Amino acid sequence: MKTVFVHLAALLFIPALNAADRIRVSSFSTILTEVAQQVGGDRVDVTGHVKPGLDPHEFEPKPADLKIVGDSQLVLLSAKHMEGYVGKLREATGGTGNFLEVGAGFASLKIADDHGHAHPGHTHSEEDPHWWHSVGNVQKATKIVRDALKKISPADTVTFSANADQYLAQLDALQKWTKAKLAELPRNKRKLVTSHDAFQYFAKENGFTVYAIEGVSSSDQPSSKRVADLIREVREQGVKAVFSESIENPKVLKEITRETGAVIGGELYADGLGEGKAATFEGMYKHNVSTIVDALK
Amino acid sequence: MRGSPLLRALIAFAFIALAGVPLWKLTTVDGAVAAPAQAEAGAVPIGLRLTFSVAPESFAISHLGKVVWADQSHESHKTDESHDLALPFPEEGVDLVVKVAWPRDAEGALRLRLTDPNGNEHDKTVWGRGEMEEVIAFP
Repeated sequence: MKTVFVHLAALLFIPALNAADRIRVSSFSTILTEVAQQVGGDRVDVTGHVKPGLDPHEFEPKPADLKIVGDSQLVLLSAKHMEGYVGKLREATGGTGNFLEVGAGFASLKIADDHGHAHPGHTHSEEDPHWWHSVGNVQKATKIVRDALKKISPADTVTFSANADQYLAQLDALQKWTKAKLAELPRNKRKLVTSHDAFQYFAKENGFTVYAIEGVSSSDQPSSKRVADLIREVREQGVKAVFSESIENPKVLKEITRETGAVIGGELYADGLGEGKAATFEGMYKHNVSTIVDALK
Repeated sequence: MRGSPLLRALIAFAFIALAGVPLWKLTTVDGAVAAPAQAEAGAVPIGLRLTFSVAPESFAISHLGKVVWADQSHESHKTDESHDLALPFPEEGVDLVVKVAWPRDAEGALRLRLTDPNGNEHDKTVWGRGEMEEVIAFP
């Protein structure tokens, strides 16, 4: 009987011990939240500070976020000037935090045009910070997160490698699906007119040219000259559809459609994961690709 | 003309049947090869040469969802095939979807040489095992 009690006590104690043992990860990107959960599995406890559907350009960490960051063993950032508040996060950890700027090493792509005004919400830069619209970049990010977790917990190396391999295989399949879907769209019709300039990585990987209404941040406002230029470009290029975004006001897009006869082809997820089918990277990416191909072909 | 009407009918039928064979041969392309039903708007002549490391059981080349060249005969094939296609070829290029079935789950390579309307040759190679489906972008 005594042995039974010992075993029961052990069974009750093990989950509590595992929870306490989990690596505490803070993520400021919905994409990196998914990557960390996929690679870390039940060995990590990930707090996604930027929730799906929120605009990461406008995000500001609250005291509760800073408290969690101060207690985290790994802090994941998109980098490329996306998190203008990174100084506050560093302060919260007393300068000793384990910050991983995942996108910092990825080749940068410039935005389409000089929009001629500052981009509030983050440090001004002409580079597009939305690197996750390249499946290849998400694969690189997966390996970076895997290696960081291995460093924190070498005992879990086999688990992290196996989980990462499984997720990388899913991303390979996604890339193959994307190529097959895009093969339905002639290459000379791959003109992407979007609300804000967030699809340079997608464009480079898939042979598109981007015509963005606003700058790199969703809070930028286009000048009337910019809108007039776009109307001319849409007419000249014979673009059939333009795209709004899940967290945007499509007012200017509607003006362009009125002037050019193009239609609004649907909503794209530019700034990270959404809800429902777009709550996963695969779902979000497939939604974007299908919306674009079906509207432009 | 004498003889039974039935016999005469049979002779006439045999004659028509015999004449039909060469006529059928003359008017039919190789039954296994499907040519594009209709040239697309803005189509230009494109040369495509396929070289297989292992003769496939079947193959199909598609453009924008339509099969433009296929051989589904499942018989022994040559390892080198050429075909003239008529496709739109914008300066941005084209995507061809290639499906190949190699026998007995064999591993094979396929080299595609596409001659564009300006006479430039573009050379791509893909590897696969058993049944393969790949999107190949030209140029």
